[in-house]
Amino acid sequence: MSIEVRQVHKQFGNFTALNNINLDIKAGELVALLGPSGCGKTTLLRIIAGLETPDTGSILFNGDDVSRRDVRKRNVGFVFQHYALFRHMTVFDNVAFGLRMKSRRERPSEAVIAEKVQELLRMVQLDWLSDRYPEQLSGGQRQRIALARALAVEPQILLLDEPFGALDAKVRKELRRWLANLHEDINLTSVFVTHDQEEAMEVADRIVVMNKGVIEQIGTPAEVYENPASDFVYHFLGDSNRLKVADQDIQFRPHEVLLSQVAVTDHQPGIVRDIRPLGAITRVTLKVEGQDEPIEAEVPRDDVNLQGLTRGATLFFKPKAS
Amino acid sequence: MSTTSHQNSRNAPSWARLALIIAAWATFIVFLVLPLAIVLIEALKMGVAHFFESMLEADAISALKLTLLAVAISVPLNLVFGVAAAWCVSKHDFYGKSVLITLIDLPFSVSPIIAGLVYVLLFGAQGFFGEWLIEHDIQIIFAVPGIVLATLFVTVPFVARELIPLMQQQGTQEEEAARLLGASGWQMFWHVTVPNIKWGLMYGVVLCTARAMGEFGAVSVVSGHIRGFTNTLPLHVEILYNEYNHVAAFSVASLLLILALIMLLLKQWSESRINRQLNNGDE
Repeated sequence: MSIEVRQVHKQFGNFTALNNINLDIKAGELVALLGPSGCGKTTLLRIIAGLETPDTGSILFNGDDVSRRDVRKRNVGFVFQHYALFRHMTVFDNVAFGLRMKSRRERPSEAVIAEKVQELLRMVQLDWLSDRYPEQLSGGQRQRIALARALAVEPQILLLDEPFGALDAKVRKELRRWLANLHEDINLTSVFVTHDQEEAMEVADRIVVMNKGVIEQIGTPAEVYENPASDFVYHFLGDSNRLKVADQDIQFRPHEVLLSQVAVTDHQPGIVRDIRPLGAITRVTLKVEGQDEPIEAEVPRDDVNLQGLTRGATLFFKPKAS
Repeated sequence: MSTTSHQNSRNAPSWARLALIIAAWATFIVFLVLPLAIVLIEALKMGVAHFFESMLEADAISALKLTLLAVAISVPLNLVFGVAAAWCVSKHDFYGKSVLITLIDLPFSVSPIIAGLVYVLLFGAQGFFGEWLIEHDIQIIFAVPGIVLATLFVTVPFVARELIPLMQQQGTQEEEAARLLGASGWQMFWHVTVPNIKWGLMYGVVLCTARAMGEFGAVSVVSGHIRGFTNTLPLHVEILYNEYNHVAAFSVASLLLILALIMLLLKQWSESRINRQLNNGDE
């Protein structure tokens, strides 16, 4: 199901949460709303779900205006940042909730519900937990139960608010891949909110970069990274260096740098302040004369220029021409 | 810093610990156990038969009935009002919210006597609505409705006060989740909100009931002390006591005491259920 956001504006008192937002999401896409906290991404997600009403503008699902449609009639799956599982219900009852709330005419029998719930629990690989209470689960398990609960009513749109925010790094990585696979398998239109650019790059088909209530750029991960539409997007999507050259600032990413241990033409000297091996790459921090801001260079860990390099040594560098 | 002070308190000399424990027990016995024991001793002074006789005397029974009637009316009303008010305050933002919270607390800060007087001034013969009430032959003051109203007034905060912090802490996300899953307003309320607050609700109701049974001041002003008609248990105890009928006074008092102990047990039970619910989370 496609989602269209048309000229949506939302104000909280004096604070403009969303300023004239337009966004088209195609059926089956996995889109990330990326931005710093307070940029309006969660508000936009809640407006799409129907949990908030926009001051002006409209939301269309498959071309139908749903702006006035109640939350419970929009049939969207929503996963909250802190999952919002029903704490007094078992995992099974949590997942069954949406089915049991259906009107008597549409409600399947308990046997059908049980089968459906078990199927969903198997899908999230937690069928062995069906008698537990949410408090007895780990963060990653809760998150998957929340997902199973949202999918039980067979929504065509899945919305996720910071789905991995509350998890530790390793679980987060696993779940990220798992979610991307799941999205492919069940053919949903999914939108998730995140402040983590790496997460957006890894999972999403397209990224919507937001800042201060406006959309800065919409594009595939490669597009927004390589052709940032604004300074903000450039800085938000990765680390960057600022080098003062003749009254002009040059910006470049840490990996976009050439190094040399001996003086070369066009290369500039810097004093090595720190050498950090970070797995596949090593980060060298350089102090450059004439500016306080240090320069960071990231090179493969077996780069020749790292051999015998110590703190305090002089290293020559040059931003790669982009 | 914190570890050292912790150490100190643990290594406090044994005489200090002993003194504190004795002081605590002494206070407990002198101020709590002894008075309770005296109530029972005084009541039983002239034998068990006399005790039951004065406890089951017609006026005492009618006082008991009136007390239970006041409880039966005021507690359910407060239950409904308390849940509604707590819901409003904790799940919604609206203009005048802080005024509402303050107003809920009003009966705590106003002396019960004043509360009673206010009702007399409103509904008494010389009161604001007095003439109208006389014309329509409705008696509120010095009658059962006045007693119920006064009880209602003093017990208003209990349920709401118990629920507001609980509901605020729980937030609105579970309710939102229920709506998103297709639940109607009522379904959301019964399946998500009520189960989450039920033990807190129980606790509030118990406190409310205890207060409704024991209320003296406000009820005393509006009652008129008509024996067998407008006397609640606490008022009846006072009348008997003033008549130097100590045995009867203490017998009826022990009736109140028994009700209070039942409430205490219920309170303990609901409290342990709340704790168990919270502890489940830590496993």
